[in-house]
Amino acid sequence: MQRLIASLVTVCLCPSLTAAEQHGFSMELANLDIEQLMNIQISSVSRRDESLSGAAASVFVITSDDIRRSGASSLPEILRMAPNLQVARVNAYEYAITARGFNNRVGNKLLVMQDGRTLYTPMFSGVFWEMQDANLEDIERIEVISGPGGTLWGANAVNGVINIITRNAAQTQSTLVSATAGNYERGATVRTGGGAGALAWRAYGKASKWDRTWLPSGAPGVDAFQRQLIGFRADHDNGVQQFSLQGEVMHAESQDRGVVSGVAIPAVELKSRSLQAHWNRELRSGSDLSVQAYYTYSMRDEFVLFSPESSIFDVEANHHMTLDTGSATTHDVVWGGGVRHAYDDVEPGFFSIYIPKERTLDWQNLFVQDEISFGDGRLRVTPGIKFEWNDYTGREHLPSLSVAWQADAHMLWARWSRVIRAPSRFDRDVYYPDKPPFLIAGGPNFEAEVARVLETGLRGQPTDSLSYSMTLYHYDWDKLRSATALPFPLYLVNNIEGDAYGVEAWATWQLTPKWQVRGGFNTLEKDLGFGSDAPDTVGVNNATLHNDPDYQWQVRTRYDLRPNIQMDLQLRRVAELRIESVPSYTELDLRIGWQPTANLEVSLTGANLLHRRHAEYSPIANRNLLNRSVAVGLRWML
Amino acid sequence: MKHARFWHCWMRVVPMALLLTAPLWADTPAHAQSGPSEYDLKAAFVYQFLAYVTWPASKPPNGPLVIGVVGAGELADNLAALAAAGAAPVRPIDIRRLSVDADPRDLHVLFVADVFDDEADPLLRAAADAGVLTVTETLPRPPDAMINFEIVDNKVRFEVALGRARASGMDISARLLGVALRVVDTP
Repeated sequence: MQRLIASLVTVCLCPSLTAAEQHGFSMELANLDIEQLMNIQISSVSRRDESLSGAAASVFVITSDDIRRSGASSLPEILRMAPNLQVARVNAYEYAITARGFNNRVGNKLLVMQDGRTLYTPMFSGVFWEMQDANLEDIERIEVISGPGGTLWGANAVNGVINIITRNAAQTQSTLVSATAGNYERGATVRTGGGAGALAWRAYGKASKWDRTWLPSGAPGVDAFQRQLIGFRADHDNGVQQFSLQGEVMHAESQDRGVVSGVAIPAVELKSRSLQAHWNRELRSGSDLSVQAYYTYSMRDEFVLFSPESSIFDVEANHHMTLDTGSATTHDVVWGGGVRHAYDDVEPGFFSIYIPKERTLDWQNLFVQDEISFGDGRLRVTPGIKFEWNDYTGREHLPSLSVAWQADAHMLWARWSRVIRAPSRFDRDVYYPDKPPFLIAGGPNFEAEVARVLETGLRGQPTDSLSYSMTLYHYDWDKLRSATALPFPLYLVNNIEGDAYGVEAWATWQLTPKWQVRGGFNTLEKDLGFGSDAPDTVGVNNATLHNDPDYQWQVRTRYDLRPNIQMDLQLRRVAELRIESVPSYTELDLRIGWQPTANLEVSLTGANLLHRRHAEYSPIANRNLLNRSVAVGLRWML
Repeated sequence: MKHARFWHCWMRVVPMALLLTAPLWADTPAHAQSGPSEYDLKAAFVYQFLAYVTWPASKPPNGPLVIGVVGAGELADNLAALAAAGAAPVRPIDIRRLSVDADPRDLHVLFVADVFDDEADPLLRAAADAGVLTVTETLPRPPDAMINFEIVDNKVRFEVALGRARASGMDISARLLGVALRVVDTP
């Protein structure tokens, strides 16, 4: 268990997902003799599913094979494969992504991490997706957990957690070149690696370019975009302790964005860099310790909205142990804590200003979770709690309790959680317009948004070829963000409450060794209202609260036409977004991959094939339409 | 950027991390029992097989043992990690990712994943005839597979077609046969 967060998943959500999978192949296996090997249980019955059948949560895993066979060239496009997410592309480079609703391009209820490093910005406690890039070739898997993860991950994991896990450098010691070129985007990735003894490293670079999209009027958009990424990862594993060091530098910019009312809008420019280290040590049998530290810097030069420059420094540690009490129960305990320190400096945007302009924020947390197995392990009860301190609201508590009952190939689970979204800079410090008199004057009394969540699910693998997962959830929302009633200035307050509920389900069916069909859908209903008799001027029917599709479904098929020719089709339907009047749409993606030799792959990818152009987000006045696109790809392992 | 603040932060954070973890460092490390993935385990088996197989005299007695892998990238990755770590039960190993129309004659071991139905049969035959240890994971065992993995109670087991191996001038040690699920003597 090498990485902090990954190890938390392992320990707490899915005891069946093991160390070897966390950091690739375990050298310890090589030291066992053949008789010892005979006695080791594998973690999953089917390697195709990377089975997370032990997790008392709604978890969907995107594997590296899924990523390669999707033909997707960016993280958001990959995430479309997760049937428990809502992904809407806003324009060439912006995305709105959430689970279980409240989607918008500055959505704030989803926690996203890469190898345990948070990708979030303290500006609005969400993710600027255009600032996130990854070397897709070296992603081992992406775990998409819909639902709260506050006890383990803290005050942002309200509607879901996305954990992007990259491969150990020991697994990427070859040189790889991949390139795609199409009518809409072009990109190339180069990775090389090596190692000596227990040390392995890789270095990589990636460049991508997207053409502008189109406006509903037929005029071209102003959203052409390009992004470059370079990075490295080094791993050292001596069998007892593992150490890894990773770093990345990203630069991106859009085209100049035209002239609006006589004002020239310059390009968006984005920069980020990060350095992170993980250290993991196995202690006594069934016990291990992880420590992680990272530093990230990001800069977003955006004339219209605002231009934040921010740094985050974070250290976390956790200890996991299995306690054998000698009775019929066993305890699998994980506990730990962390501190985060952030500094930011925000240049005013065209409309808004942050007061104070610079701010330092600190967070601390402590958590403990105990998975108690009874008897033969069929019944597991897992209580846990996290305490988190932040500069705005002081101490917050995030408890959860789950129960899982394993009956042969099926597992029934239920979980109750209380989770919060802590105030961000946006909630407290945003003023509009950029100079007095202000119409909006921050949220000096803004508190944390709270959700009490009840979930229940059934999942299983009744046969070798069929697996499924179904989840029902109910959110009791309290203290959602609203504004005060007139007169001006308005203040941001927590005056909206209500319910949200829905279903998430998916299944994978391996019809023949060469043909797999996967289907999934989700539904969402919300019933929100004002807590007191003082509604704000906007009401609850606005784009930040109610701009979600009622349902989505998708079907994917993977077919091996020949052992070296693979065809993948993905059909998806997304219901209309009523608030912004975005029509429902159905789209089809296709990829054909051919390996003329074992080291070379040539692919043809078509995306959004059913329509010449379609919309996924935004009201008509500032909507961008996405093109049908085709691309050829080349992937060469040297 | 206020670097001073970050150093200040370091000064607070490092002691806390040390404090949190200090009592645990004294513990003696041990090999934790954990459940690896199916291909982790199969890679370990393939690696062990190298010590229990005698190849025909037509194979060069020196140089690396060449393992070809068809259609199981994770298994190839795992073996490559072993090779990169310099782990060698007998001789250095060399991993090659192959397609089903590859020429197997230079190999010592060929692993074919279970996604090919009978399309890999010609490759397996050519390999077996050339004195290559053919390893598969397909039920029923392909006719030219010498070792075929099966999963029994979540554990990796294997059948050995000793007759087929001997027909190609190879031999498999009694220790390996002793732990096999079944041993088939007919060629």
